[in-house]
Amino acid sequence: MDITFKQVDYTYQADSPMATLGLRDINLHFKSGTYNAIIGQTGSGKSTLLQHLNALLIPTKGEVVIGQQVVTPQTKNKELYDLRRKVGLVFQFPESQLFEETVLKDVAFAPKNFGKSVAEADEIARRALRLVGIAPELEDKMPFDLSGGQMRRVAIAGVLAMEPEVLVLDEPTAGLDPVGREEMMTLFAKIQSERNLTVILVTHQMDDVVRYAEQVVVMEQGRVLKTGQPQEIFADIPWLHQHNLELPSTGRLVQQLQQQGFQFSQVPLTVPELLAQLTPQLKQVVTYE
Amino acid sequence: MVPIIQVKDLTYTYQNSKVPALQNVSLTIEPGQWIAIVGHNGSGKSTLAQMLNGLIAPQSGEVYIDGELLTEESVWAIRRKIGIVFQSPDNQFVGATVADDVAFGMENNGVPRAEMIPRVQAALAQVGMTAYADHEPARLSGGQKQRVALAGVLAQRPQVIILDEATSMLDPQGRHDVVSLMTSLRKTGQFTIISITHDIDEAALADQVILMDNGKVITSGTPAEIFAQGEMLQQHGLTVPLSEKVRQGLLQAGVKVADHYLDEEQLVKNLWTLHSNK
Ligand SMILES: Nc1ncnc2c1ncn2[C@@H]1O[C@H](COP(=O)(O)OP(=O)(O)O)[C@@H](O)[C@H]1O
Ligand SMILES: Nc1ncnc2c1ncn2[C@@H]1O[C@H](COP(=O)(O)OP(=O)(O)O)[C@@H](O)[C@H]1O
Ligand SMILES: [Mg+2]
Ligand SMILES: [Mg+2]
Repeated sequence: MDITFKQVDYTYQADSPMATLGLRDINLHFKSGTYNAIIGQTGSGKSTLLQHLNALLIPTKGEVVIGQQVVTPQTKNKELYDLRRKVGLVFQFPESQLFEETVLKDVAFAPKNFGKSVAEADEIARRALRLVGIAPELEDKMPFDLSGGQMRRVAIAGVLAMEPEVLVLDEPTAGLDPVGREEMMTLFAKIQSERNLTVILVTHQMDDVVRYAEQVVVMEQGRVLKTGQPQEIFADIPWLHQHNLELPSTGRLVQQLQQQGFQFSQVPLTVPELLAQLTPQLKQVVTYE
Repeated sequence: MVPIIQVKDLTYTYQNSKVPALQNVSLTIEPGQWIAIVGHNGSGKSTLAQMLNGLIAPQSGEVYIDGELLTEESVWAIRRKIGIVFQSPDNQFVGATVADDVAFGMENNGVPRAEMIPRVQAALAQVGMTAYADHEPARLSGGQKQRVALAGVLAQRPQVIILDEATSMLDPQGRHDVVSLMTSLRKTGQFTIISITHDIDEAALADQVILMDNGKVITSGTPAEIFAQGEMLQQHGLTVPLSEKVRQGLLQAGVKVADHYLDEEQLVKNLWTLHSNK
């Protein structure tokens, strides 16, 4: 599903003295089937923007077009039922929303709720659980007996069980170990390509942005500061510093290398790119063909 | 010197579990050290941390804190010596204000009121949160919450501070703030710091790194000793620091880079000596 924001403003507690700016003049396009990343400091409006994608929040001004559905300040809640099925939102720390007494019941909840029989819902839930790497023996456990990482997977399986067309991920790997993070990111990439989903990811992990995102949106104080491909966004190190944005992990090393006197034509964003630019500047061990 | 922490042959299996969460763990930690415990999720790190301050009692084995055996009788005194900051910034607040919250642990330990107020102030100053004393904890950012949690621990004047993935849910700024706070606490020399972390850059700051997997201590050593063993780290579900990835890549490309682990600064220096225009 294509998603378009047209001049969207969002104000928290509008019409009250407590009114706070959430979003201001957002114009964006997420192309169907693409992988998008949203970056920016805490408080910059990332989560507020995400909540517009399945109309948990409705714009104060402007409109959001999601597939066929147009959401404006006038849109009524009952018009949004279909949209909410099609857009799966994985919140920050999704494990805090587990509530059923077993893992399987928790994941089967959404499909049951959307009218599947118990047997069908369980089947969908099992598929989703296998997809996120939860073994059958854990299905009858209480979610709270699992480790944090396992609970996170169960919560994500719960969203996948809705079989959404758009997957919205709000810092989905925060708190996971490196391998867990890697597995989770690989999993999202796999689901994205297999089911041709539109993915919108909020993250502070710039290495993941570089690796997966086709389009990057940079937020600052409720506005879109810049959009572009990772190469465009991360090309300008002083600009990134100026806006308190992290570099991909290679960035810090590259800066030290530059200060020492090494030359880079463009900022390498991954280890292989770094090696490709660095090796020719170093004395090689002689090798014979 | 009496070790601040000595653990002998600890084993523990959770009630509803078949596999032990800890198996024959033995450790000795000298006072004033910064220890990083690394290991993938489920390797037993939090179980060990909770055993050190008696939140969980061992099924076999012994824990000595500052030379004293941890028992049902000694657990209360020992808990005053060991403070833990947990992973989630949200679930550890009880007070209506930041100051109340910092005071809470002392109230529990029967510290007289007159003494509590200056201790709260000192602890908040130490973590740079004085201006927030009357704020509601719920309205703070993640990094600020963890600093308040740390102030609650500091106010109890512990000898050991355990941070159980305390930075893992923070944004880069929050993480940076907490890590620089840990660095300044270390400089006082008053604390033994145990940081359970997945952040390899944070682990690199430690004097000793302990690697756990499957409820066992796999190995321990200085960061340089541990990070040089890239294959082993990967086997146990961890990654190596960037400088090590680059060093390995250059070795494979036939560059005569140093044959041991280097941190980023050392690597840059080492590479400069290999620059082709020299
Ligand atoms: N429920 C709310 N009520 C009032 N203000 C809010 C609420 N949620 C977020 N805000 C404010 O909106 C701004 C953007 O917040 P958010 O979208 O959560 O940012 P991010 O996800 O980038 O950290 C912040 O200034 C924040 O304080
Ligand atoms: N409350 C609990 N009940 C049952 N098993 C648990 C509980 N807490 C942890 N475990 C299990 O104990 C093992 C070690 O967990 P933990 O100490 O939390 O590891 P870590 O902190 O390294 O992620 C894991 O297999 C985990 O599933
Ligand atoms: Mg957010
Ligand atoms: Mg843990």
